[in-house]
Amino acid sequence: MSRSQFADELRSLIDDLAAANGPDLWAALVELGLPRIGIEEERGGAGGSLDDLLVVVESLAGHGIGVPVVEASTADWILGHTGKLADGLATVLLLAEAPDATSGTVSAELTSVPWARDATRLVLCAPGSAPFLVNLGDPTVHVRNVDNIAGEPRDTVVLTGTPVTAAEGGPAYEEVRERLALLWSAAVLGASHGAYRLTRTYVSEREQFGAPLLKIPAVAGNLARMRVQLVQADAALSLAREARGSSGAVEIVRITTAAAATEIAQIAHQLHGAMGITEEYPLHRLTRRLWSWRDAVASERRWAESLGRRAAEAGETGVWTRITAPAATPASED
Amino acid sequence: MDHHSPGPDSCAELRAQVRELTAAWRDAGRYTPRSDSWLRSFDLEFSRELATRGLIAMTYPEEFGGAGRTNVERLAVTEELLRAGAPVAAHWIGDRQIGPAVLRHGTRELQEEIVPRIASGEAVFCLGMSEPEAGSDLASVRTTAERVDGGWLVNGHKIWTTQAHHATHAYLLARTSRGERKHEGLTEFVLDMDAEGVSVTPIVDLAGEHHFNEVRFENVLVPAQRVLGEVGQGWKQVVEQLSFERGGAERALSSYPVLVELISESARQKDDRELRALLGSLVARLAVLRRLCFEVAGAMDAGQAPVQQAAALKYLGNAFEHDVIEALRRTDLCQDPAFDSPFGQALLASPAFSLRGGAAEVLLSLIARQEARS
Repeated sequence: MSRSQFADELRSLIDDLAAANGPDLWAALVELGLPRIGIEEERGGAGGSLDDLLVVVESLAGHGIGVPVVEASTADWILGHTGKLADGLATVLLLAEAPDATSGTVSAELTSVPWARDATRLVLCAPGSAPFLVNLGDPTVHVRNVDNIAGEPRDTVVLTGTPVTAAEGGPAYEEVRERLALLWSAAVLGASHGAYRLTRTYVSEREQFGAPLLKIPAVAGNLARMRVQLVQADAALSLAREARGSSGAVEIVRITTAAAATEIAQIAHQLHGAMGITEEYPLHRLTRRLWSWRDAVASERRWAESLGRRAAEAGETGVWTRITAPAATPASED
Repeated sequence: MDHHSPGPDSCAELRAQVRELTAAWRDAGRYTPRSDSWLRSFDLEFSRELATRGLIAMTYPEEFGGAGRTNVERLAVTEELLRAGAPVAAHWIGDRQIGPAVLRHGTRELQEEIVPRIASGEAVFCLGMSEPEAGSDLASVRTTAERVDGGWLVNGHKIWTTQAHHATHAYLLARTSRGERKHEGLTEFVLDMDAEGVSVTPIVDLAGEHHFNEVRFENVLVPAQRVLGEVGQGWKQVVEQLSFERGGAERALSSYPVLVELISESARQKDDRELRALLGSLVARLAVLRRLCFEVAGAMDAGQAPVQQAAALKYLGNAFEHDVIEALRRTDLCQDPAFDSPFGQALLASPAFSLRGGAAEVLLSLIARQEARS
């Protein structure tokens, strides 16, 4: 099966699951092995590539579905480096600096831990050290529930002399950060597409002044502005997928998808009018996620500063050389 | 067409060739880099130098003086030329869209007559599209071509015709019949600028520069073999031409010399984190625009006319060109800008960025119509 065929099958599988959107959706996804795509089978993964996982993340996000797919797939990918994967939900947190674990235990208050209340294991990644594994079921662990603006768990986890194990052989912090950034970019892109689809349907069907809203030139122009943002964000993700590992590509895709998300969420609400701000109508499931996810891992501003610093250091020649570096030809993706 | 594959090496070689040539000309004082060079910097000698090196007409078949290369390879050359602010206006329009249009729709006879002359830099083209009453509404063309013995008699008036005062040839969109719909009855022609009845008057722009013109046609006889494509099918053909016109790197790089200044200034202002962030956002946008150029070129190589994608690229690219200029205002370099500074030149040229080749509003409505259909 060609790559794009497999991607299409993943998409339609997720469309079907989303249509059934029951409380057991995450269990169904786990059952199908989707969050473990991109991890080798001999390590307990589902096989497939990171590209396939990006398709899964993008498709789920396009339906405005909040499941811990980014966190679980990344945590399992880290743990898969060190041994066979166990059952249960693992999550991951990036830290600015490694916690003091000299005695084999850690005491710390960790904020914004995604899905901690539902997870059994937490992987902590910090620059310059191996990842640490925390058993969240340990009696020394206390979890306080906190939600982000999308209503997704970003809990506070208090560790008090909690035993940790170093996951030797795990990936470097930078690799984890890059993978998370790429996955969040795909999520933002997916939710942007979802908000666009909903808006296009709405302005095509909703009548005002005796005709569909889309007949009003200002409305049509705004819909087109959403489309060009998607064109830009799609291109940025393609670029990042092909340029994986090259510095700059991650910043570029984060900045571009975040900027697209901002404009798309704003226009989507404007075109939906008051309908879009009700709990009943599904737009907020997408826009609240766009507002949360666009600055995940690091804010758009941080990525921009980092890319700008590198550009200033590289000078015009360095910037130009990097931007025009040969990539795979567009037709060769399949 | 049987294209050879554009390996990364061939593009790297082409880039090196362009860099060497532009550096040599610049160092010898034979040109001064400037913003918007593809429209304003006219030097036949430079265009012919490129022609002898096979760096124009790159995608045309070899039998017509081309190099039989891909659009992806051509992109490597055009973006290096734009980056260097090189004087490329003499061949830009002919190379970009007239050669390809004649190759797509022209008769064998017309191809043999016109294409090799574009490839050698001999034929300089201007575009007779816009009219006083038909700017953004291109289809409401009033210039007429009436069938007479031996050809067509053209009468009418074109405006905003860039480099008409230097052109040897004009591409002309004219009405050959009046039907129910204004998109019907249009026909494309190639005509000689030295034909009897053609007159050119300059329009000086707000910077005092002369690149625009008005062109009048009074009973100009155009031979029958100069019809481009099918009589009455001009609209369909010209729409395809627009993806060549809109999908290139010149839609993102018109203010590139200003970005170069911004990069240097950011290196000097190490503590200005706001400026760094601004530069980072612009670099991200440039990288994505460049990727879109690459995708459009790839689509052309696959035989498509990516009209929609090219329109999106042009819309985004023009916004970027404006924002680069505005970004320099975050530094002190913008104060009392010299007339011939990169910033001054780009700023004075900037109102045209999102007008020429399809105004931003036209591009958005084109994209919106497509969205309503899909």
